[in-house]
Amino acid sequence: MSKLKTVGKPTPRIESIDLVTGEGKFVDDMELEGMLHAKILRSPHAHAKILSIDKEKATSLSGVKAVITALDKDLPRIPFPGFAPHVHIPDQRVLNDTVRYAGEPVAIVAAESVDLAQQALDLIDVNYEVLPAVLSAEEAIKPGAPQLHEEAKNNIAKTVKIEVGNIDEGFKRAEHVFEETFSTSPYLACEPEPYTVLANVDKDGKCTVWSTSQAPFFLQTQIAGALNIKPTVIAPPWVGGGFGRKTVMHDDPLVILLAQKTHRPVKLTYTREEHLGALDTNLPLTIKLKTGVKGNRFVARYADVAARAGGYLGQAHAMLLYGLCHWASLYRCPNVKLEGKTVYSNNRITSALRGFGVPMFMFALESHVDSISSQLGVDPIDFRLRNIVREGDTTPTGFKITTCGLERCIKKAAELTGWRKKRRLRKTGQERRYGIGLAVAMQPCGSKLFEDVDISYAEAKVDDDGIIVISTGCADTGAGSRTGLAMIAAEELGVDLRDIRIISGDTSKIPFDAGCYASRTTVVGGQAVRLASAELKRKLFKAASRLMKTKSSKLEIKNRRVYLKGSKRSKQLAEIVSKYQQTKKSASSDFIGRGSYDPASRKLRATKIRGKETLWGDWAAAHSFVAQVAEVKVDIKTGQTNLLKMTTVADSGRVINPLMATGSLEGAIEMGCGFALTEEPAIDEKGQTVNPTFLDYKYITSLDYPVTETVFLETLSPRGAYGAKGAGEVGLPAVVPAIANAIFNATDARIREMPITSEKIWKAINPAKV
Amino acid sequence: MKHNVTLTVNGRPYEVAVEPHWTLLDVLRNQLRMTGTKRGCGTGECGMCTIVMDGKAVNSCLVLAMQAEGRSIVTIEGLSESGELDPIQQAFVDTGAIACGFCTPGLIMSAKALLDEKPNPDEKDVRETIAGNLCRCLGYTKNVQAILLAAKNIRRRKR
Repeated sequence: MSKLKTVGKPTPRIESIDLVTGEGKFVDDMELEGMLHAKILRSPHAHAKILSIDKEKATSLSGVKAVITALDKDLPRIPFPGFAPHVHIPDQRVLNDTVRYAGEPVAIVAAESVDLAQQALDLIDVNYEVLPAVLSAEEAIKPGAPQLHEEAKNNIAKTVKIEVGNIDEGFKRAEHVFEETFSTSPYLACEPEPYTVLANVDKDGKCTVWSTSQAPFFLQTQIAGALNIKPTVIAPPWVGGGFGRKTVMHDDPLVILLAQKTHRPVKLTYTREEHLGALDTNLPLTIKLKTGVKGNRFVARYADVAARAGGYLGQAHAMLLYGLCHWASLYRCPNVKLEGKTVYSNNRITSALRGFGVPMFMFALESHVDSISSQLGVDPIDFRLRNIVREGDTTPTGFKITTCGLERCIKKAAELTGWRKKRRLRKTGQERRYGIGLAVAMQPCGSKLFEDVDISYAEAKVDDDGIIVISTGCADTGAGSRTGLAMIAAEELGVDLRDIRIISGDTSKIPFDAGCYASRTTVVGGQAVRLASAELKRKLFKAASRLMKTKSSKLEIKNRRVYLKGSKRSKQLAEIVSKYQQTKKSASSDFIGRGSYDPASRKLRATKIRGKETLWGDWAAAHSFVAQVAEVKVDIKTGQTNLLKMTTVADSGRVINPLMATGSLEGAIEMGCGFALTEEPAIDEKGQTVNPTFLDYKYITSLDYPVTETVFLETLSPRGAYGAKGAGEVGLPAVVPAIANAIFNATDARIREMPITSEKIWKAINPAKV
Repeated sequence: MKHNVTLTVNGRPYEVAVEPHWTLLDVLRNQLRMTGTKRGCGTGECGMCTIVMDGKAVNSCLVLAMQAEGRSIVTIEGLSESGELDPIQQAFVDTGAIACGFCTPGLIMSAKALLDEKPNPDEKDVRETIAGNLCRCLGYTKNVQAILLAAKNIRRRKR
């Protein structure tokens, strides 16, 4: 391949100027004439029947324009349809007359100001019949436990089993068998910009929703499912972080209903307290692992997993499936079995958060592999190199691994950190002990697991001023997706980046895209953009070659003109297009380049392999891989962990934009360090979250954030444009286990519960004093 | 009951009628329509609403609008009024320290207060200065690099 001009060059976000001057308008910055403000009233009870709601006083407060409650007669009660039936249960409506978690919405108000809306909430009288609640999966499945949904016996929403080979034979052959149980926390994304919805219904009934969505078409579908209204969804180019949280519909339908009732635009901006105290969380898992090893190779791998969903299923089961496929696929083993169940409980709904289930499994698995290698007296790197998945493998759940640079990543991480030397350092006796730990992970890019749709379309055309406009359904929450797509277009067309303009986010103006999630935008969206750009270039050169009486192969695009290579002869792009349009023979021929890309991955489906029921599907477009080494110092007296350094070596295929890609990995470290050491919503015995503030939830600040070294080792994916894969999520799944393993290396304390707080470390080091 | 106050923002006086409980953040965004300053939490825990008041970086969500009368307030909009980017802004762009951009104005204003007072900070100074600014997209590697680069460029300009 000839040298690339744009792809691969470190490039700041194309929206940088708007953001650095504060001019970029996020949805909450928008104000429409006559706009009202909405606020939601939430249940204080984890489980209760709503007996009555008196909204009289609220409605008559001056400045309050509408109040909608869970018991309103005209409230739509369509169960949300969701996606594939194997991961979804239609158990939720816009408002429910039994509440199933503390913080569940029971009413919404629209008023002239936020203050008035808040005052109105205090005037709504809700009469509850409090029901007994269950707060853990363990309690929820016990006979006699309160049932959350009629159809889910013992609160078990769904179960899953995978089985390949013969697990019993495997354990018989094993020389050593290891068993450990891990649990992960329902941590939070802490996306900087709160979710915001601004809805308007005009006099013809046409509905527009300005949204912080990272997947406008997906949001449109979810809203249509709940309301039978299909709005135009507009996500601006400026969205303040999504991390998966902004793929999921929030209370958008209620805001639309308010707009309909009041005939005015209505804006709902969630507060940070709502984000930290009531909105969806990550999915907590309890993972029991049993592993058989012979000759330092895996011969049997078994897992028993309980996923603790909230009061409604949300995306809990989808995340369980997504994660378990990667637990199964990261290491080679002929005999693999997993049994899992997703259990309802009276907790907050669990839905998409960066990694979508993979990071939780990687915490358990990579801690477990570290325990195993430690007990066998084998270096953790050597043990992994004997067992990791490789390019060309078909994994136990059916992934075909087309590119895998994991071995190189591991070796590079070891080299950069001086691994072998540091592992030999003596630890005992010092008050602050140094520790170094490694973890690896794989993360899918593109998904047909729960949606069976992983397609992107793009269009390219020439604007009046000669700029090439790329229309894409992709959204950008800050990872620089729009910039990456613009770079791919610029490379394909052979033009400067500044001669590309991206249009995205408005469902009425752009072609379909599944959404900016599952690390799919660069690999799937990017290929659609490349194909659209290539087709536009073909059309341009064909028309130009006629005009300029030469061959297409002798042409190039520069400064918004088509040039005969090596000469000054040129024609303006805009002129070529207009001349063509004046003389074209048929209405269907036009100057638009169209691209669509469906990566030919296959949905995950139930099947039988050698008589055993299991799941199978090559459902990701590609996989990215990572090796991470954490270096810490643990204070033996207090259990406090200081993060010294995180070294990350990742295979994300061809890196389109190294500047934004390293930023993404460094940001994942910020999240992962918090998930590892401090972050966890704490609930009291009534199921209420008692730490809905940053001060008490505790993210990692600049004072705790480690020194980072981040390197990409490229492979060339056969799927993504120019060999690209994805980098949005792969930086996260290995962080927590790398830190856990470093803490183990420093203290010999194996903590199997997230977060690994100072208290837990201290107790593990001082069992006699507990 | 509303009170009339005059707020001096980015060198210009603005007369505005405010409720006593409105914060400076509320008034900047809602009354003055300067939406560059963001609301990340409203309780002084994330730093996204940071502005510079009388030379000090403050969380504007913790300052009552009426308290801000008579003070000199600088917001992100004030940094590039001449049409050119401030060196701090330019350094953030060049370093790639802009991801979603929501924390960016607050971070830049924290940096501005630091560099106006201490033109030659070391990395420790920078980390302490931005300890109250959450950046979830990037962590702190690029943000620290950007501020140190800005400091270097400002010192170079002054020579």
